[in-house]
Amino acid sequence: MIFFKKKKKKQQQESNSNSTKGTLTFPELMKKLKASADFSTVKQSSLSTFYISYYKTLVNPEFVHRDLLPYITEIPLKNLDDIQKHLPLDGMVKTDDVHDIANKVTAGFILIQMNKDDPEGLLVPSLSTENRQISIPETEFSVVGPKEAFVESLDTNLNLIRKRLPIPEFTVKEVRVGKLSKTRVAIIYIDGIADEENVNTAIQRITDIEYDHVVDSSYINQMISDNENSPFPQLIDTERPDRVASVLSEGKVAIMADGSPHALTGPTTIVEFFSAFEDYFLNWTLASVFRLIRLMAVMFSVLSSPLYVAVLTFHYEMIPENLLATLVASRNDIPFPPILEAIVLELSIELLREAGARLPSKVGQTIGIVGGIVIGTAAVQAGLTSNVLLIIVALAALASFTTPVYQMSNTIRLLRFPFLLFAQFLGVLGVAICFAFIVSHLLKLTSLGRPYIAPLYPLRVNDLKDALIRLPFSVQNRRPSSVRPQDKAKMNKKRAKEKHDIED
Amino acid sequence: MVKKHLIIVFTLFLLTGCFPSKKILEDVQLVSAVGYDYKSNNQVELNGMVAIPQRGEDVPPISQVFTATTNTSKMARALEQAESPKPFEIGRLEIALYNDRLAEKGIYDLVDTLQRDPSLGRDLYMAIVYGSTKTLLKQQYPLSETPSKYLLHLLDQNMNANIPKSNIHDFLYRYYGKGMDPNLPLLEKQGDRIRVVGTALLKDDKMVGQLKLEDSFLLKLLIEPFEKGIYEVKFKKDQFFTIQNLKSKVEYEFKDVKRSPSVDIFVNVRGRVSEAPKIPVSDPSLVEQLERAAEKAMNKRTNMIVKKLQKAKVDTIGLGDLARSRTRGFDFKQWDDQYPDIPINVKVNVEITQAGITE
Repeated sequence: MIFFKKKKKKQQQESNSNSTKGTLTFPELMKKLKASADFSTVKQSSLSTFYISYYKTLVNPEFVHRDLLPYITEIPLKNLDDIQKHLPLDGMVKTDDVHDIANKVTAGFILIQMNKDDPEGLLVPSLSTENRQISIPETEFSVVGPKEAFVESLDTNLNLIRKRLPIPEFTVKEVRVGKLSKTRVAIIYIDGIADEENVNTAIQRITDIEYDHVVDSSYINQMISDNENSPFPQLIDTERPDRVASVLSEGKVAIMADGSPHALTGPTTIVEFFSAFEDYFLNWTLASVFRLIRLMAVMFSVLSSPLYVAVLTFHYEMIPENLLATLVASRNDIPFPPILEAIVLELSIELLREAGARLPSKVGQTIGIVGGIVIGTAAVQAGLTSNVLLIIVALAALASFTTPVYQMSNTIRLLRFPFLLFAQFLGVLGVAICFAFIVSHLLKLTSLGRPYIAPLYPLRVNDLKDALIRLPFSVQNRRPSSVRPQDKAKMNKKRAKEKHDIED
Repeated sequence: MVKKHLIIVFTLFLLTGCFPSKKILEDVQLVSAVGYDYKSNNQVELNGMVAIPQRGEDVPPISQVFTATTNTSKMARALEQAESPKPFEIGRLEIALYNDRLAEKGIYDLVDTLQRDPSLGRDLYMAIVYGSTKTLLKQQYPLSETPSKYLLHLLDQNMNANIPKSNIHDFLYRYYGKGMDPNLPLLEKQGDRIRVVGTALLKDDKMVGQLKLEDSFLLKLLIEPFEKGIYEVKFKKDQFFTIQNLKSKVEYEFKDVKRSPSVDIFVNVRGRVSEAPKIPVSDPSLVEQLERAAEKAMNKRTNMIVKKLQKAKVDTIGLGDLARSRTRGFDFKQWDDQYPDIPINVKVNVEITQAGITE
């Protein structure tokens, strides 16, 4: 108990120190700012005297000389109001709040003062940032459909979404997160469709974030997820503006952070992680079949090597008669029991994947080929693994790549290891027990407070139209009910079914 | 909460002894066929055939037979174990063979040990062999890699066509069930071939009679609907044709079961003439004649088979059970007494749908 008490005291002290930070005087601030080499204060004294201060690294000097100075150097100026009147710019703020000045100057505003030690100043916005060009999506590539992906600038990203939803109900709420990074985080939703409770949950959770720096939206993903110990991602992470736009129109909420080329969308369900956005670009029959294939691939990826271990260790009765000779012959030379064989091979595949991911893309390819072909063949010839298992593990790895959401495919990679251990201890029964554990975990899981395996449990028959299979657009007349949209209907079903073609 | 979790984790460590024992595939000796031979009144010779896979991709497995003679089959397995480098596992057993002398004495005790083994499936084939099962299992057959594979495929395809279906499940069902008796395929080793020679008729677990292969087809017609099989019919002098069964159906009609029962069995065979040398089958008027000839021949033969069953007091068709299922207050004792003398009438109806194209 003493141990716990001590900890509490320490925490209190820490929070106290945070709150006392509040008092700062103007000269102190200027001293702090000037300590940086890239902060410059220029005295302008042509017709009237005033001081311009800014960070050279945040403000484009061209802007200062072309768009700012010419308007105010030619005219006699008495006070800051005069300057504000003559500048053809918007977003200027006149303030004597030291904290406001500190925040704005560090975010790329230009400070204009009449006197050097005057605490009142005019803040002129002039942030210039270096932006990456909008490029094609890489992790969620699709052959047909839009080829735009988000970039690191929040404003550009919002532009990409807003131009797809040109309606006044499209609402962006902005919050700053992170004590040091002060990252702009936008909560995006369509007013009148999205459930207010979902929006409020998202806003509340984001404002509650206590952390010093938030670099990427994946930080937020982990910080606001309902269960942060779960290996399953609880918000979808996407780089496609078209996907975000379509998800918003379903009544979901999107979260974007400045500096992150990914949007988070939620509340989400597990089936959404296995639906690629390309599914909507294909005919519904094809899309449905591909979705089912993907689901089977996931099951195969998770269960194939555990089942191999279970069957070979405990249930030789299950092996079909024709496969028996092949299996025994391939296993005969191997010195390891099936579990070791499987773990060694699974780990080496993971090793290859990690190595490939950490290396530059060109070297990564070589690693893939060297690992896949050379090591695989050599391992079989050296008698370290059986070729049957090599095929199973390679196929399982391949199958795990079919998952369209990267975070989910990582989860699937990891998921087979507990299955392997259970298979080794209790055979197929162990696999079943592990499966029960996972299913019960999924049942308990929520995404922004909404059930995670929603269309399946609780059963929402209407939502099943776009879950394991995707039915044609003409029957997708309702928004997913598990999201609880305010406006439930996507379209007028009757009008959608009318045909206006002239038939003779 | 933490304490609770710690206790759970700690108990898991204590439970490590409770894991099921491992039977890693390549560390066990899988018995794929067993044969039982009669030795003396109490002693049975158990022959277990194992297929030992060879190193390399395309090398077929070698079969070996382990033999021991004891009073109980489990003890025999223990004795055979003494010669084997790996422990025997019986879970992949494909077929159990019984010597004909043994079958005449009764095989239930031997089937019972198989029945009680939870690792065995219910689709295990059983067969009765004329002569020694040991020599049958020891022979290398050019037709297949191992004798067990040969036997498995042999029975598989013959049970689709000419002999009644029968595995350990059917055997036990018919053994335990009242008003029916089991049947098993009858095999014989001929040189480097194994041949299905017919069907063994069993009363309880004892073989009391045999049917030839041609008659087995007719027996199958009486027992179950099926879609294959061939039967040869004599048409006129020196003229024969074979009829291939496309679809057969059997119906039973019982009359006055409680006092003086009589049974009518209607068999509908839809078939095609698959071979008819010297007969101009393309003539439509002839088809009717062929149908009548086939019906006549099959009627005569099936009625003979039924008489034979009645004489041996075996109810291979399961008529007693069928009668029970249709009669309220059915008396098995009375039926069993009356069975040999019940008038059983088989009427075969043949319909020839095709006569032109043959395979």
